[in-house]
Amino acid sequence: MSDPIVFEKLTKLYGGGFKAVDSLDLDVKSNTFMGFLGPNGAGKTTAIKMLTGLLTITSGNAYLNGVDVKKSPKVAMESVGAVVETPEFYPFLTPKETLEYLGRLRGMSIADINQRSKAVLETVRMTEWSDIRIGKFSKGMKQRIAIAQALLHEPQVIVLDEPTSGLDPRGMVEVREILKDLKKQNYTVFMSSHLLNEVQEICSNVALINHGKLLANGTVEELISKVDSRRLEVRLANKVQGEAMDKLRAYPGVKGLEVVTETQFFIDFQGSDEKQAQLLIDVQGLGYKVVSFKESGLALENLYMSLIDDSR
Amino acid sequence: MAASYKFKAPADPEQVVLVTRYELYKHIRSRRLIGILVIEALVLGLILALPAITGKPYPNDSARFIERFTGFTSLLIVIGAVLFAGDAIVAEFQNRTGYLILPNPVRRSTLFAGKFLAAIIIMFGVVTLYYVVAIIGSAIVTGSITDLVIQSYLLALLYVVAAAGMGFFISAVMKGATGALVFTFAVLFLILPVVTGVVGQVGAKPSWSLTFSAETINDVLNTPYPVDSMSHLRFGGQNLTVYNWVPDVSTGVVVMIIYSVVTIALALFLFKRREMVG
Repeated sequence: MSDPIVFEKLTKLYGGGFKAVDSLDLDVKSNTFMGFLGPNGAGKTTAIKMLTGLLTITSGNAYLNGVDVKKSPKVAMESVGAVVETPEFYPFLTPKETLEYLGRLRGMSIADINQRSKAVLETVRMTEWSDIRIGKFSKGMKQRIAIAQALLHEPQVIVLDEPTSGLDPRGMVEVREILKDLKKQNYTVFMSSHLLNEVQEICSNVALINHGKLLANGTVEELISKVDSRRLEVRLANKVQGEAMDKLRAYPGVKGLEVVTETQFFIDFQGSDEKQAQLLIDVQGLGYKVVSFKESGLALENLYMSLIDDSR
Repeated sequence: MAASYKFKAPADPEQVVLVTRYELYKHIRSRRLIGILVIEALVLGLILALPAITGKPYPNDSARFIERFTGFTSLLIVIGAVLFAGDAIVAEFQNRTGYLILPNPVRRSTLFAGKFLAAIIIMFGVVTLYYVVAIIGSAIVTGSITDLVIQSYLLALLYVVAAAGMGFFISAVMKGATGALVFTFAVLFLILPVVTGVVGQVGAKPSWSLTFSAETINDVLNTPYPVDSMSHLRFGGQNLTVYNWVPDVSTGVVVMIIYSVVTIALALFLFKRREMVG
């Protein structure tokens, strides 16, 4: 049995020789929630668009549940629900009518559509808007309907392209709650994002790309465990002293120091948890009264930054 | 091999019917249908009311009476092609509805067929209503209905297909919906008629022209069928020859069919290749 999503040497070449996706190899295992991470322009959306038939594949292959998306796009998309970019809706249809249209295109019976529409509109908290034409809906409401249509047919695979992009903070929180619900269910989800906190919070697996190439791939825990570089924020009860700071700069594993205020500084530190604990003791040994000593930013962010920097 | 999945997408013809139905909803719920019906009502109202207002008698011959209506059929069809075909393809890309509909188990050729069928069904409806009013008017005013109106009606339906094909082709080529609408109108109402007129006046019969072929819709009501003619004028000391070309019905039918096939094929080819970028 093949993995739900497989990219084999997937390549997208645009005019002028620009490779948006460059021989990308990636497998998404069944029942995983994979975050597809990368900076803007890394090739995430291009790869997803090729997977869902919105862009032509220059070379290589993409498979959905073992079906070649180039050769049999119709069959490949049968078991997939997708939200790519921020789709627009036909303004003359209501959410219920939109779901009926898409459900019937997928071969669902009216009874199935009615039952599933009720369920998915409830999931995305749009039940009360189900009979109102979409024309006047906000972007956040449309995004929720977009997620509803992707879930309508209980797909085996869900593909989401930056699902919280362009939403206001409340909309982002709401969509993340929906995604967390999905994680609890038996779906295989492939979600692109450039929001590291979102990925670390929701995803079980991460694939990191830049310049169209895969940089890292694994479970969130595996990748975080590889991270031995972190940024530490130190807040003091007394003032920062020049001599003590010089000693700190020369300390093993300290890659940089940034003094923010008279009583606060950041340390870029590379080393194990053991060494980090020792660093705290030694900082106090330098005469500093430490009020707080904490990691700043996310572990995934540190990995992301180091890998992205290396790939520049 | 894919694992079996609980919902299997219907066969292409069944999906074409579905797409057509929802595209028809779009047209029926749109202001565009109301707009063309208002234009149609105004044209019909003017044709029927003007003789009464000006005190001139209505023609007492059915063909002459209906000819007053068929003179505006082409314009009505051009407006229909602009409104229902002019942005049919490009709007999916520009308005981003393509992001909703394209990642589904449905072929682009199916979507195209459904959209095209919906456009011509609506336009057939508008044209049919127009002819029905003309025929009823003829029955009331002249007490008869000429058989030639059927030929004119069938030619009008053929022109609907060709004009819609042109609209779809332009819509598949253009990047913006507004540009596509304007260009469709310009091609069918200005560019082709002007080029046809210029070519005709240098002595070459413009049988290749779609808009020239569409003149058969009106000409077919004449008995005998008109023939090509020329007249000589003296203007500014020079002799001028003015040509009055009349399209042959059979040639016109063939030309309209060729335009239909070629524009539909090109539009489909471009739609299938078009990428959803931006």
